[in-house]
Amino acid sequence: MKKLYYTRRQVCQIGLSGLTSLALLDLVGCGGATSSGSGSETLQLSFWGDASRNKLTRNAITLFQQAHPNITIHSWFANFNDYFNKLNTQIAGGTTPDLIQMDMAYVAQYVNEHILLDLSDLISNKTIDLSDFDQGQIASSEDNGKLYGISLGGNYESMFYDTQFVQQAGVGNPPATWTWDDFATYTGKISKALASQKIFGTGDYSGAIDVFEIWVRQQGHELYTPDGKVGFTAQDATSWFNYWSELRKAGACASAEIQASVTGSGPSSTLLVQGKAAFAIAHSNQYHGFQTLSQHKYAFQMVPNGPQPGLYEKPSMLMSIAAKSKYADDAARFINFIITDPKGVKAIGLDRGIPGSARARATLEASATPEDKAVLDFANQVASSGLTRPKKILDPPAAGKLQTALQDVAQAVSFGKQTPAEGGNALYQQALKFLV
Amino acid sequence: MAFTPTTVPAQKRRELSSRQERLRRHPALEKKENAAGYLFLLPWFLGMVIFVLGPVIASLYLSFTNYDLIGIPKWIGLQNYLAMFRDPQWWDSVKATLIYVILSVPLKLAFALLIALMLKQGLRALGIFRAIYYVPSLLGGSVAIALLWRKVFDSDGIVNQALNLAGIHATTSWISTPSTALYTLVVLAVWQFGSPMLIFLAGLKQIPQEYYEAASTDGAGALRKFFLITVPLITPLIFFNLILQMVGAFQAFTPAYIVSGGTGGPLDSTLFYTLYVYRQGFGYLQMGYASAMSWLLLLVIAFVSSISFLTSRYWVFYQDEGR
Amino acid sequence: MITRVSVSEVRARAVAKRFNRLLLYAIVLVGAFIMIYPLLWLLSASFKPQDLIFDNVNLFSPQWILDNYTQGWNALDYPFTLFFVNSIIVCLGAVLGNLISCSLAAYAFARLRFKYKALWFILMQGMILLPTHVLIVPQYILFKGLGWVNTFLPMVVPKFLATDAFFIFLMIQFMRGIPTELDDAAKIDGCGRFSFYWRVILPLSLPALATTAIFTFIWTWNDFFTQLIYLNDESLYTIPVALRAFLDSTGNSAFGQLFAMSVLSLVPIFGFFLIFQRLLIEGASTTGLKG
Repeated sequence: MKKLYYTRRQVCQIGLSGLTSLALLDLVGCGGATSSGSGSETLQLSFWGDASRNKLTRNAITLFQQAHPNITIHSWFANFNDYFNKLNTQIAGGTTPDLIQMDMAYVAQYVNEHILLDLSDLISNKTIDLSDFDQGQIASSEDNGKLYGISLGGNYESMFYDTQFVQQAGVGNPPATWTWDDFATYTGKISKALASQKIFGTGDYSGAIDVFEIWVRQQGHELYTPDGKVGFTAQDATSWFNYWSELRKAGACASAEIQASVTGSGPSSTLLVQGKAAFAIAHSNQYHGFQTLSQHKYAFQMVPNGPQPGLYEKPSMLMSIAAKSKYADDAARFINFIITDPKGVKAIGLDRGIPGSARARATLEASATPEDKAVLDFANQVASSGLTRPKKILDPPAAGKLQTALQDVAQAVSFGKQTPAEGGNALYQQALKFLV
Repeated sequence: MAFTPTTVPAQKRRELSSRQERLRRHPALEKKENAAGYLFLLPWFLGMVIFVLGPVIASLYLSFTNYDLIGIPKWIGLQNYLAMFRDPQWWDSVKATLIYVILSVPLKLAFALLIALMLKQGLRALGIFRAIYYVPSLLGGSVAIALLWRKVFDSDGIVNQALNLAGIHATTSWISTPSTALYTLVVLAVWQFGSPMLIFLAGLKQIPQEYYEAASTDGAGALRKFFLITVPLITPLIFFNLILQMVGAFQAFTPAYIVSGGTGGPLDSTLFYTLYVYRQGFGYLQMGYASAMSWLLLLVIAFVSSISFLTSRYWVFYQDEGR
Repeated sequence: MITRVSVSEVRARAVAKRFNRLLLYAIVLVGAFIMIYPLLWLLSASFKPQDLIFDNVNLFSPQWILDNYTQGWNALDYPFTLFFVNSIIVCLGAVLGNLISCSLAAYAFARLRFKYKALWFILMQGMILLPTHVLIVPQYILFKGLGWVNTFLPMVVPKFLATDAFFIFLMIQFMRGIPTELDDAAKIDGCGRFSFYWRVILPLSLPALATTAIFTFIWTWNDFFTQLIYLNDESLYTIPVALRAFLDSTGNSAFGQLFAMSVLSLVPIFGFFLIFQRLLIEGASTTGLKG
């Protein structure tokens, strides 16, 4: 009998200590609150981007927290390719961020799934002040006439080139406007001149949906019809893949292997930044992100033009609020802070695009660094070039799938697994399947 | 700590039987024994039920449903399994994983045995050599090493540089060429042969030297000694290593994820099965499909393990109680 | 049968033997060099400026810098100190969990008699071979229901319930080697089963416990998959996840820093290795031998 007594007591002791340690772990496990701020209200913000955008965002958050001592904002970011997967997992795990950075191609999908808050009330009661906001950007970000996110800035599709490489290649500066054929010839010359350093004229952008969209619009079509069906033709896709095949054959753009070696997205995952290509195609607001990663000076260049005007000012990204957020008002205040308040506007800078609010634009122009000036000048250049045509169609919910499909098909074509014609057809067929 | 054979000495047997007699005469003791046993086993039992058995059954259930974590599981019967066979990417992942297992496991064991044999020859500084060959195995499963491997096999990495030094002009990026990317992962796996090597070394040490000496006086050469003495005696270890390495190889994830940047590319050439499961489950939130895929993996591993166990009768020789 | 052998034959055989031996040394040496070269290169690259890293096999460099370490440390949103601390917390929790739960279970299997013991034993062995990927989806759903996603709990709590059956097996093998006379002596002295476990078996199983602790630490330190799924906040990142985030954010253009942080992440494991070499190697060697 004495033995049993021992055993039970000993076992109970273990059990108790076990529970205590579990409790301790629970304290540790509940997300280390490492960011300062005596917040009684804690919000989560998610965005895609790179380290430089993160610095700017954290600056803005710090300034906001100083002005609102009862609010703390935690943030996480990922590169674009991983962002929506991670966001989905969070949403599924029940930890949807309060502030969600949204992409135009994905907005419709998240609105459909009731993840995003309709901002009409917050706008009408002026928590978010859009009184002097650019109407064009508002119009392009509406879903069925309602706003589910505020545009953080407009941008244009643009090219960046390495001025040092261009000089080394001795090909002279590119002309202000040019055609796709001009681009092919020009980059071909660069590749030849810098072959010994294994530098290509341009990276291979056959898998980039944003550039493909410009091409499609230049053929007089749109990616999607207003009712969410396929707007481009198989011929559009085939001619697109053909074009890049020619460039690849001529060595003007990166070979399939070299392009495949850059996984991930964002400025650091481009051949330009890695010093292996002279040209990159990106959004005008990414200029700062690109330039901080390299010692070489990068310059703006317009995307080549086609039969019809294809460029358009795109809301670079929206800031949305989670429909189920407990702190919608605070979240709205933060959005207002970064789009209208001079401190917030300056903290974010032009990294997310050219602000829609006229006040904000004035603030930035007044304190523009040479880099900022370059971005603003380029935007003006494009706007007044006559090569733009506004886009009035919101991407349908399956737009994200088309993005991935294009990447896959383009890679298959680049490795010779499919001919451009087969690739064009394949892409078109897949699009038909998604966009029902 | 030396492991002695498990033959039971006579005195022990008498003790055991007397203990059994005591138990038979005292059912209360038996009950106490049971209670004690289960009390000690409780943590494991709880863990097994909550974190293993439960999930295995739940996984089976989910594999017959459509579930995106947000809504509720919707029963769709065998559709997930049928969809797998119609999914070209699934076939790609099966192919990549099979090639990986079939190539890396035998090569790994071969190198492990080879180097173990060499080290057994009584070299000086055996400890240092043994350590050096083991270190990759210790560090190899980490993200850091996978990151390193990405650059080692890149177009400007040390593999190409070494080839250039040897006079072979090499500029391909091995990790981003569809036909070679998978093999860089095989090399990474084989590089980590240190762990099975240690097991072989320990086993080889246990083979009595007299066997070899006896064979020498009979005029047997090195090769005959190897095949007629060494190999049969270490078949248990070969078997153990084979099972362990195989099960591990089927589940490889980190190397594929990091080297391909999470894409399984280029062109799905490094899309390991588990990577595809991850993408389906945590990328596309197709939890039902992911469960079906992982159940299939379970069945395949169970099947392969069973075959191995069954056929082991024919080629594995145990020294003690002759199985 | 005794064969006649001439003096010259003996000498020839001796020379051949020495030559064979030298050849063996050469092969083993070269092999070792090739094995270790990638690691040496990683180490040296972490001290080189960016442009001297690639297109270069050289382990030595005209320029050595510490910048990769100082800049890399702060390259992410939080300094790497936080990620190291997070990893240590998770690993120590896992080690503690395994030590406690696996030794308890091992003692039960090795020493105690109870009904259906054989059945549980088979189940336990089955757990070792079970592919963990079949468990992740339901486990994720379970942890999501408990609200444990985005915490360290999913990585630590299961260890307290002996889900790493491999170590149970390891400890059983070891405990079987402890003479049963001790059990009987203890019984006669009136020592309860738990006291016996605590005061006799555990101290005698120290090598097995140490092996368990070290391997648990190393495996958890390197465990990328679980930490990838459950840790969302950057402030909770452990080393593997942080390194990958590094690669995504600036790693592609700042390899020197990435390598520097990689080297630092390998230091603890390597440290364990240097200190506990005997134990690790013995532990790894004897897992395969029948006890």
